[in-house]
Amino acid sequence: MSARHMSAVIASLALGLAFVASPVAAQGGGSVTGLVTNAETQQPMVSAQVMIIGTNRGTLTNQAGRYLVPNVPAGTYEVRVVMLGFSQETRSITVTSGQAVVADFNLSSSAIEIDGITVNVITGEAQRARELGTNNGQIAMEDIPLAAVTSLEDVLSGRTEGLVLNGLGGTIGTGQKIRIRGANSISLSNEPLVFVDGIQFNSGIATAIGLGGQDTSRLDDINPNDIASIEILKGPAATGLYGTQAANGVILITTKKGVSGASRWNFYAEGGISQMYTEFEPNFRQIALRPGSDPGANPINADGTVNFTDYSTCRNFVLANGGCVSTNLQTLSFSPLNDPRTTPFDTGYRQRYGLNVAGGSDRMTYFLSGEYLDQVGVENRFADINTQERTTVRANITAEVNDRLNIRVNTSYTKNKVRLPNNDNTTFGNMSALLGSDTFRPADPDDPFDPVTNRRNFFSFSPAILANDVIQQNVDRLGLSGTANFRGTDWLSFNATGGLDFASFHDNETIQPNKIPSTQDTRDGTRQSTRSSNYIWTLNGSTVATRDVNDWIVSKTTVGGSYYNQKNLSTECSGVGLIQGTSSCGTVTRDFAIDEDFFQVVTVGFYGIQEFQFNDRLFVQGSVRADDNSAFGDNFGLQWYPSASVSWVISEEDFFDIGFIPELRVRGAFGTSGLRPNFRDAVTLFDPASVRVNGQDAPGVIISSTGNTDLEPERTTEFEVGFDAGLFNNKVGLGFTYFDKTSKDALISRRLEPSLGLNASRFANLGEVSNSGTETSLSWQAINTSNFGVDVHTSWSTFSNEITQLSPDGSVEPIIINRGEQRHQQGSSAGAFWLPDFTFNDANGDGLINEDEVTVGDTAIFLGHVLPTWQGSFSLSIRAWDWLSISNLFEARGGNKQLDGTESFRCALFALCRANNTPDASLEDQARSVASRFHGTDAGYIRSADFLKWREFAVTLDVPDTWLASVQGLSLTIAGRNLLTWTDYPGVDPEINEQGASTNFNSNEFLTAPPVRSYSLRLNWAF
Amino acid sequence: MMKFASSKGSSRRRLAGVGVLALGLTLGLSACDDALDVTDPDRVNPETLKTEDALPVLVASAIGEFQIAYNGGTGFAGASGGDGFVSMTATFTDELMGAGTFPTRTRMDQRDWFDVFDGNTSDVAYVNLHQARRAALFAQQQLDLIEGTRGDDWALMRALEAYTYVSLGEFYCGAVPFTELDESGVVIEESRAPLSTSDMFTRAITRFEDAIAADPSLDMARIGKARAQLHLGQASAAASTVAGVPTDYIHFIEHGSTDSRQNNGMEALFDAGRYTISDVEGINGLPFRSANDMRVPFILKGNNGDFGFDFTTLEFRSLKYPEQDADLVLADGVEARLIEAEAAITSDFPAALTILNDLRADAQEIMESRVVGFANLDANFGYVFPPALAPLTDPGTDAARLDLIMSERAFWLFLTGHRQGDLRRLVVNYGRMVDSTYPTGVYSRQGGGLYGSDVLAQVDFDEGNNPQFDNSLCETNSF
Repeated sequence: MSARHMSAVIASLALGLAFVASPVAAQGGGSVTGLVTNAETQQPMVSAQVMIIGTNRGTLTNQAGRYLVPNVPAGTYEVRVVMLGFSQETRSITVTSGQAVVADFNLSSSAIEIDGITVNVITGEAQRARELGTNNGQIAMEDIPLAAVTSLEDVLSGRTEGLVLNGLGGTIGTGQKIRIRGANSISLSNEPLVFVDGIQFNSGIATAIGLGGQDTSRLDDINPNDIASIEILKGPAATGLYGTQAANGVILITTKKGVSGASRWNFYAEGGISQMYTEFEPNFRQIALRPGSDPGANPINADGTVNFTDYSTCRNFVLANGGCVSTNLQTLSFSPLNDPRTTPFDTGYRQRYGLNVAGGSDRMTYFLSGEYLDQVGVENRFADINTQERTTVRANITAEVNDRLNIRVNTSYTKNKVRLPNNDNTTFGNMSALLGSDTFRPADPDDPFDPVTNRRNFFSFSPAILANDVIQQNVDRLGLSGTANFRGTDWLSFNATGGLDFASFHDNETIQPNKIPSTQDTRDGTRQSTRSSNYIWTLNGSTVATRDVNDWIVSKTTVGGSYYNQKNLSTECSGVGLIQGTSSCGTVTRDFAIDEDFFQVVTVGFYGIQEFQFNDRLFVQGSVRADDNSAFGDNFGLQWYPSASVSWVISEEDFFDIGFIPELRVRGAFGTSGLRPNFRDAVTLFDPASVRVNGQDAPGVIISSTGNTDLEPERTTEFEVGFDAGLFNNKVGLGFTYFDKTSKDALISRRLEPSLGLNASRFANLGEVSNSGTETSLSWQAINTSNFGVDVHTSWSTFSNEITQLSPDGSVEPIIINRGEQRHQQGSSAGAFWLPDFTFNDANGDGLINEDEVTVGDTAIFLGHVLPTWQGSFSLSIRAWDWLSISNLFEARGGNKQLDGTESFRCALFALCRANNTPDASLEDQARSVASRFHGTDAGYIRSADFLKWREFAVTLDVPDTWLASVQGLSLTIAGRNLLTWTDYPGVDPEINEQGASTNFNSNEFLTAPPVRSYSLRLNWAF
Repeated sequence: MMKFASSKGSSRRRLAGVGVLALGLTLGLSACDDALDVTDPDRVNPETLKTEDALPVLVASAIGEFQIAYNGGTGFAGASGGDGFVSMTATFTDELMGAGTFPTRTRMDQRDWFDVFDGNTSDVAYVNLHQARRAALFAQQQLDLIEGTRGDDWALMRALEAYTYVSLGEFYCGAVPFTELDESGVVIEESRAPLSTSDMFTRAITRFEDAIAADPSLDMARIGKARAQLHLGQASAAASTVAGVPTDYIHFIEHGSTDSRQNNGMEALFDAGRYTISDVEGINGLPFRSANDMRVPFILKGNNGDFGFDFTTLEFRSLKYPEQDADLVLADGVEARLIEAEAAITSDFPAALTILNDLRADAQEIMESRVVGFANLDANFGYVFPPALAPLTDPGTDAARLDLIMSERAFWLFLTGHRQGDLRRLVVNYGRMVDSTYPTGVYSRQGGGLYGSDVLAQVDFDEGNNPQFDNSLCETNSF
């Protein structure tokens, strides 16, 4: 169906509703106007939402805090003003035709957020938090120190209970996993959907070139300075209307729009530095003097290598067996990553400049912005191998075409160019230095750049040589969205939103000939290039009919439909034998290969919502959505997703009288959402292949996928209950939520028995996964005067995840992942660590452990979760007078384990860790190494990943208004990020992950670059 | 609050509205299917493979799948080589040692597999051999359905299918299922039951005989049959089977460089520094390097200077597959002669010795016909050709004679996937002890420790999803 055809359908639906309902003619009108101020500071409030209850009329206050609602039919109304962080106010007015009624409001701050406004991107309707039965996360961007964040992931981290980011590494441009309320799916992505201004946004990771593990994130294309607010819908109870693909939650991003008034310009300039603060474990070697050698012989040769003439290697596990003589034992150590003469790390830097302007009239407002970001990562001592240049521009226009029609058009363009280093599971990365070196001091400290001698300081090649592997990603991204709200009558409105998220990627890798002396191909020079275009079309249309059933019941009925079409087209080429100085597939001389790839998924859905509001304090809503999707199996049709919710502001009932609880809202919701199968999972398909037959290339096929025509989406049903309370005059806000969700028909990538000769696996709807937990938040306006304010916010979440079923008949074996270290097993959490454990005993009391002194269990046992079981955050904000504000954010997480794969490799395979080579190595560490090396279990390297981090701080100095002439505002902000870590995790960092955002459950640290500490200084100038 | 008046005049509008609403819904629902139709230009639909035009494609597919299974290949854009039956069995025995870092390859080298649920390198060949078998079976089914008569193509498919039985029987434990699908893709339940090793060889023989019946000129089927007959202790019958195969007969697994999947997997693995040629590995190994034998040409050339991927192990790279498109001999007349020699060990050793010496006398010519660019290895790779192979003499005892023939087999059939079968027969057929046959003792590479006791590979853990198979059936430390 074409978009035009779909529009006709939606228009027909809307038109039909218009005729069904009873019309009421307008009878001429007056206007409502007034001023909204902050009760504490008496300052005007900008962008406060003003609504005429019972109508679909309303507006926002302008920069002076004033509002005007024209053409209001004569009659008696209630006017309500709401603003995030403040208690709502409602006042009765009477409008007379041809006259203006003045209604001023003075809003008091509140630590409880029951009256915040959000916009439902599906229906286009504004909703107050009090109407919702779910605990949706809200991030107010004005509370974020923008100097401390460069990406959307920085904005999300630690600010909403239930949302966890994982896989933070130290490489600029790479992404993290986002998990909301655990993980619903074993086989499909657990990433939430992202919408920007009502348009579905391609947030997936996207790197066609292998980096060893990490991947880029398209969330990096969003400029945080353009964001007005973020709402997080956490589960099916809230996302049922989003249908298939929304079971993991939805992140709704709204960008800034103009405010009526004079144009207000804002310029900012920022500079920052970043530093590697991790002290890496050195490479060790324990040596013993050979019999007859001079005890004074230097253990290290002039070139830094070990003097094996006079010494021999004598590791603890060999010593334990009497395999070497413990004469004049010495331990050599060297860290090429720490040693200032060889380290590839240096101070990184960034610069950022931005300019935006907002303003407009009552009829049209605008927000225009542009930003340039340039940053260089810390792996830059020998070459800038990790860089980012990002340019974003945006134009958001809102127009009141007439008193019935409002149109909003948002456009954005992003150019994002990154250069990425190798690390993680590759020897082409600088972090591979943790796997050993030939030398125990720099081979040539006078010439650290010499590629030949310096090679010996590192496991594979020196950083200078590795820098010749040039990997880049260039992204051009265009966002276009349009929203039209038409008020057919005072009780009937129509909303249509449509748009396109288009992203063009160019991923490429070039190795010039004779630069990296590895394989023949590498020596000859290689080129790999992938160009892809990604489109996501979004179309939503809905009709809302609001009517007063009687004096105390309002009915709101919504029907609508949506259409999503995601398509990706890519072409990739590669070749070997690159001509010197070129970087194109057209200049390779052999092994040329080319491929095309295609991906498309279409979703069509219809929905209906019925809400009843009782005295504006009890809200009951039911909805249902029907979806069909091109990825469903042929034997499967529409999928229905029902939802229901109730919210009751019980404190507004006459019977409620608890003095210290002025506001209390109880809420509950139930909802169903889904996750569609992947593209092509439902069909059996073959890939073409070229086969050599009788000296010629002949066409052949290989099986690409073993399909399942009965494939259905996973269905996740969630139930949540909770409350929000304002205590002690709303100075304290307390929120609590319990959620419980079950994913049925979970897609299990059912491993097929290889004897079938088909693919390794085929999806089938067999499993069940359950997630439950709690979310608690406490906000405290400790001090709130005109001169001084202290706000404290803390949140705490708990999570419980379990695979309750892998198959109804128990026939599916545990699904082994991550090289056998983890598994999906019925009765266990998803992706948990299961390995044979071990015990040890220094039987002969020599302080050494050999393989006979370690006993390993016969079977694998549960060793730990990979998903956190708890998460917390703490923020402290201080406001002093008009010119000083300080904010801090701490984040903690735990209950999960991480495989310290780096140390396991160092000990078990290369025997260069501390446990193998130092006389004071603890028995436990020695046993850990022996168990891995000789008995094949990494159980000793499954370590607790609990941590507490000082995530960010910011200090802002605002120049007092009295000092400024024509300038409207001037401030200076000092900010820092990833400042301190407290953890018992012995590896590099408990947050990093070998595969970053590209893995669903693998929890392995392996040669991964850790997070860096950064500081920035930002000047903000408003005029 | 607003109230809503109702009037008679609006009833017609209401009815009209209902009509428009119904029309919109009807239009919407009927158009849904169109909207959801996604054309996928990138993949081949199975229905297109069931036509006469597709038969050559199916035959080529099976050949390609067998190539990958037997000798590996490489991924897109020059990824490091993928293991195949040849590289795995070579590393498991005494032909190769590891020079990389993958723990699974190291454990394979040590004959000490990880637990089955952890996964082992051998799983790759297990999966690929079955895929090759299925591809060959599917081609046979379609040839039967469409052509009706069994000709050359059908015979080749049948023989390749048989070779998968031989390979699985030689390397994997004595409990391997060979599940089959009927023409409509439904599993034939009785085929799920695992076969013993002898059953695998017996089935292989049956299939080779079918192939020979369909194409009497298909000598690779005769050689394959004889290979299986040797394992069943039918040496004389094996010799009779190959009696008519000319010595200059060769059946190659062809490789190419048009697509990285065509590449010679063994060459790719050396290029990626994953393996090195062994020499007297684990006390019992043969002196593949120190013998300085032209049948095992090699140079010292790592992918990191002289070292392999682990930057520690010297990499002695085979020149038997010097290029990406170097072909691999699956079966040839040399193997036929060696089978005849083995059959004559006890009955007529002088005849066996003659066979061996005749081959040795023609070594240069034989190698030139089997190794691409063999005559120019010196110019192209700096290889120093050793002297011509001297004639062998009778060592005098049965045991020494057996050693001699097995050594000749090892050098002639180096890196062709025969060594594991030979060591197996030494233990099973000839009564040798495992510890005097397979590499044993101290493992010299970075992991340290001792060689393990495994003599066979495990069946992939996922076979446990076969309702008629249990992983506990698979014994790997005894035949």
